[in-house]
Amino acid sequence: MHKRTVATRIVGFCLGGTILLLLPLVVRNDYVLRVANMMLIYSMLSLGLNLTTGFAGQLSLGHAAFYGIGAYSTAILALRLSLPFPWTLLCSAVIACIFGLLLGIPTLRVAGDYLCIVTIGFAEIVRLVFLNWMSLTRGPMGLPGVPPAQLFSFVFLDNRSYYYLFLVLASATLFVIWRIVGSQIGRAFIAIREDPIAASAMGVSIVYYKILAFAIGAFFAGIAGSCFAHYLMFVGPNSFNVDESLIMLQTVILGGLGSIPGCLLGTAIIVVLPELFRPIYMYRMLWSGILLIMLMLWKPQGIMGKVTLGHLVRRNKLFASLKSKAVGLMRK
Amino acid sequence: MLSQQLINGLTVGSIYALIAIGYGLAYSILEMINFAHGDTYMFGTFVCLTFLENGMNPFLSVFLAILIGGLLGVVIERLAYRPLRAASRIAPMISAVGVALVLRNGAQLIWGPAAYSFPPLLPRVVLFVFGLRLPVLQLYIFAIAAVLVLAISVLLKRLRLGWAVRAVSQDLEAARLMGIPVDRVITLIYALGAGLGVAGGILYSTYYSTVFIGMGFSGTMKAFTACILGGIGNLYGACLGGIVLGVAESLTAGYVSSAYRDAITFGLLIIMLVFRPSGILGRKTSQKV
Repeated sequence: MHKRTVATRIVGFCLGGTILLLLPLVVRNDYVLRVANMMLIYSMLSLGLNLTTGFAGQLSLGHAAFYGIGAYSTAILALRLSLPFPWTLLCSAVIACIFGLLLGIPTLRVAGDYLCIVTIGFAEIVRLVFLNWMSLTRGPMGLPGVPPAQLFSFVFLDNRSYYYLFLVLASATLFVIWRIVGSQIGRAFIAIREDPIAASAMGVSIVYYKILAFAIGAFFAGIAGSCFAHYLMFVGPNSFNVDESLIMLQTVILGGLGSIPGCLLGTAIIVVLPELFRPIYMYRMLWSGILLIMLMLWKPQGIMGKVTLGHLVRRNKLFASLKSKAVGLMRK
Repeated sequence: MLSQQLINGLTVGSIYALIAIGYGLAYSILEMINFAHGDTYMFGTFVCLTFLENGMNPFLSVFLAILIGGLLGVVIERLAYRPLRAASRIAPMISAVGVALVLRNGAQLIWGPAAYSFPPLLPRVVLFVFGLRLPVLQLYIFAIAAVLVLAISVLLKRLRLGWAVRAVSQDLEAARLMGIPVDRVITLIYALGAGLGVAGGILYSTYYSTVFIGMGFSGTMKAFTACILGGIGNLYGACLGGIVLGVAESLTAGYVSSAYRDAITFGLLIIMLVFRPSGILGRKTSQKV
């Protein structure tokens, strides 16, 4: 790596860090802080999804399910068992992680766009369970009255204290993901993304790393979900639908698959931009659709991405032979 | 009770089959998951509703809605899919997600988020045959869907256009070299698929007497599930898959819980993708390196 890039990175990191640390001291507007808090929650989601999709190449459109599982776990644990805060966070992350392991299992047999459909199916089943398991989740009414986060005797009540809490958690997420990506695990992920068959020939266990990619992504989504539940003090099934998964994938694709700074930038754009143009806020999803199309047409690798989407799925021989057989059947 | 559920399942299944055929045709040619398929048919159904509410002749409005749906398919293909044909498989899929978002939210802007009641286009009389309760509506829907499916299969087998479609889906480049206007054929496939989808959507709305924004997304997923169940790229596979899905859903709704009806769709989809991705009628293939 060139010295200059290292220097720019350090400068950028320090600058960004200072701005983020000082932001709540300068800005006293609750609304701005609220947006910033949501941005921090989304950055945890986006970082996790970037690991699964950007680095390990497992396209997931079901990330909202883990977010929802984290949020509901926190709400249920806090309301039913009155578990205190740090434990709810930890338990939710672990529960989401277990579901991530579960979703990771089909990835062993399914890849590419089929996998994407499996993840959507999984997310929809999870949402339907939230919606219909009345005795546990109160269905469409949701779970109100989740207690605020509390560390020892300090209760997080205002936006500013939450901001620092989320900043710490998001930084921890960033650090862990950054270390994972730089480690042997990260290299294994990239090897699987680039060519699973070659990777397995080189002794990379595809089973282990694919499942691990989902589990890690889900773990951080669980943390984000837990933060969301404590912060909003309410959990409802509509916060975790397909659109939510789409927004998360969008943050990752916009910033650039497989790029950590890109995914933070993507999150900032996706979360903040609609707030800046408040009059068009209700057309948010319309604009994001147009944005997705334009991105694919002109810059499919995203703002800071190095990976082109072509790497994610190659036209495989399996499909070609399958198709010719199917066409043969159709002709009969 | 069981026969009743089976009849309901067959009716819904025939609608799913219609939607799935259009989807499967496009998929078999471009290997692209068209996330916007369901939203196109939702849009067309809303257009039909608007025509009907303004007092237009039912036949004319259904015809026009199907036409507009087909046109929408052409426009989408031209703007969002064709420029990406040379790209990877994921890029057009994400572009399709974008189109779906645009259509869904566009429809929400035009018609609002509410669910509307759909006027009865077909008679709702009930016949009794050997003690079996046979609603005429369901017979009609089944018959219309069957006629459309037959028409499509004749088109694919007998007409020159059908040959062109099959040639393109076998090998796009070779078909181009043989002088087949590939771009026009693909455009036509999208138009046909979207038109069939709108026909299915109108039948769906007639059957349930309702039309709502969310039916787009669920339609996409159901079309995809039906295709996967039957085997991708196979016309009869898509039909069979649609009917299996419809029967499975109505049996779930009748005997387990109607709230989890859609969960069955997704559950079937995941199980099928994991254990037999080539579908009921497909054959197993092994991956070559």
